[in-house]
Amino acid sequence: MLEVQNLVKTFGGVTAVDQVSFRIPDGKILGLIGQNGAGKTTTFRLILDFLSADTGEVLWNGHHLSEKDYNTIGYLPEERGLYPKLTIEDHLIYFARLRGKTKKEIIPQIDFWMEKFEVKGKKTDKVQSLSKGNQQKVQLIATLIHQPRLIILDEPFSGLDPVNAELLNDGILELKEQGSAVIFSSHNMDNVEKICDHLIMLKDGKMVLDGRVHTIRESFGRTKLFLESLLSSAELLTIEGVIRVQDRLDHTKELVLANPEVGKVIFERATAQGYIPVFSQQPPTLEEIFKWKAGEKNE
Amino acid sequence: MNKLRVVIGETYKRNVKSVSFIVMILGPFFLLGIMAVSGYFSSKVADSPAIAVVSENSEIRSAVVNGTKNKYDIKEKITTEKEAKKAVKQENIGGYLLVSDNNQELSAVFYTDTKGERIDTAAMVATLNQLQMNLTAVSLNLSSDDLGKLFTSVPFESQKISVNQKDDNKTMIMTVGAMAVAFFMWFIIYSYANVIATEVASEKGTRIMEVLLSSSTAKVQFFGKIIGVLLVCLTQMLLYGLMAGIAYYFVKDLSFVKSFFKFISIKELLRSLVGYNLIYFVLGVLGYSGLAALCGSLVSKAEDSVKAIQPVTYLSMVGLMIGIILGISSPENIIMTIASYVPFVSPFIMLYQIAAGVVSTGGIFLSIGISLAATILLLIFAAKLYSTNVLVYSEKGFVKSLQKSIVILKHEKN
Repeated sequence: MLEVQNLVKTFGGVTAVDQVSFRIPDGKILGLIGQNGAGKTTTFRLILDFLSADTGEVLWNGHHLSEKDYNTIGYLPEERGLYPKLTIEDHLIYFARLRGKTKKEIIPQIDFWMEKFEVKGKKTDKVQSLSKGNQQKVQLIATLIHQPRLIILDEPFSGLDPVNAELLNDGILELKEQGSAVIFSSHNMDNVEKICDHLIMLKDGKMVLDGRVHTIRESFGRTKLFLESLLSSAELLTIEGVIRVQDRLDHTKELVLANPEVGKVIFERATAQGYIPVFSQQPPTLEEIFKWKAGEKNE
Repeated sequence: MNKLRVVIGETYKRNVKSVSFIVMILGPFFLLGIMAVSGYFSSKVADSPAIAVVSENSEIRSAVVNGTKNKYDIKEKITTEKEAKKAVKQENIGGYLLVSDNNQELSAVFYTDTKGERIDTAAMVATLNQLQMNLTAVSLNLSSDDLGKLFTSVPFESQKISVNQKDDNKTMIMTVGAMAVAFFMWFIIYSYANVIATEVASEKGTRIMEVLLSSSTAKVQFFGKIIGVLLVCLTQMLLYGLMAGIAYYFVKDLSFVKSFFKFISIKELLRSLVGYNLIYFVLGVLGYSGLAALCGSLVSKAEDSVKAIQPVTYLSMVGLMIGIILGISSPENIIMTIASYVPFVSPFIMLYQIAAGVVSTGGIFLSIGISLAATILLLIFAAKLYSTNVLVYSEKGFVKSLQKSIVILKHEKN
């Protein structure tokens, strides 16, 4: 279990992280979102003890992170780097040895992981001969091969195509099953929604969203409606509480409602003439919430 | 401790396997090889030109041939002037010596091709003179003993009166040793400062550093890196030592090598290389390695590492230059004396002062003490700063990065 309590970190006059608290039980995944410069990487660095907090503390299984715990950490930094001249195998062995594993323990694992992430190339290939995507996979393997208990991934999905993103998703979920605590940051709300147990959004170092993805979305109310019916846009706009109507390419209309209650009125009006193929009233997507929150002025 | 070993091992392995290491090792040998090959050819051409000796008197001919054959490549098959002329035209020989004998009085003419290279005739002249002398001695009924007495030379020897109590030759050897050590130290520092700084800067630039720091402490990374590269350096020196040993075995009989070692005893030379020289060498290399790692950690990209080690380059250059300019001519100069106590410069300077005997043992210990203290302080400071440096990415240059790093370091409580 990772517990982060009231972290504050300032650089000069700038507060990079401001009263951030959360906990990740074993076997749970926390997603950290926020715009560039919101304080995500600084939060990771505080967790990893690269930086020390002005106030607040980070506890891993009830104690401060010490040298012994380094062996159980898997960290993927935001910008990717490998030793270009080393072979895949040498690379993975070196990083695993730095995590306290022996060469003997790691060598049998390499094939398994390369297959799992579908790395194209032999393990004796030099890293510099690999494509960018494959290099990224090698780095992911280096992060996960020693079976860490605390996994910190800074933007793991950036640069991955949907197929590879799916592979990574599966990988993260598997480690979660095995009881690791995972924290990752992402700009891809789709992935965040799919695999996060808990979500935190940072803005200027402050937590502006905190909770389960589903709960957060519901808290904004089901003010979005996808409708396919005989009602025209003009007719819909006459209904009180309909703020905006937009035609979509698939013949449905997307409505923004003043409050969820308006949905009932529309449903009655639309079904008065009989069958309708689409009526879906939803809370705003994570992406929309992200944009609202990011755009809000600070109080 | 275990992780330190892993970092040292990896750094060592990666560098020893690198192409640049092999080039660095072999570079001087390519140069020496080219020099040796061209030297061999030029000496072969110049030393024994092909000639022929022709004379009507076959006894005299063979006496001349015997007397000169270690200086010239004598084509003994050519016995007549006609054959010799032909051989010169065909450029088979550079020229021929025609010796005529007129009643025990020798006269000789050396014919060469106008186009051909100049052939040194001194050895021919000497042989002919010797021969003439023997012939004359025989005709005068002189014994070879009498002949020997005639040419007894006066014993003559030149000896220097040393003004100093000290042995002049020894001072000279030590000064040469100091200069050799200073040059070698500068070469090692310059080469390996670059290696260390590039190692650090590229790990920082590729963000590998962050992964490394999440798996071990900054201290482990810092010292592991330095020790690893210094082991590479040691490997190079051992290889050079080994090769020098092998080379000495093969060249020790060559005349110029012999004359060199007659002048400077190999024992004295080796003795001047160990002792204080070794202490200063180790201090110099260690101090500059720490400085190089610190500099390398301040830049954001591997490409900037050359710029980053400018402090190393300049500082070591200043030391080397002061030593070259003043070290031999006036080792007791006030600048030399002051520089002997300035950390980072002193390893280049103090050796000259020791060689010239212008510094007391107490002074040497003080200088070593200052240098050692400065090196330890720098290493501690650099290791501390290293952990924050590697998180500071600034394009604003060296000094700005250093300032930023120190500010962050002050903010950190631990």
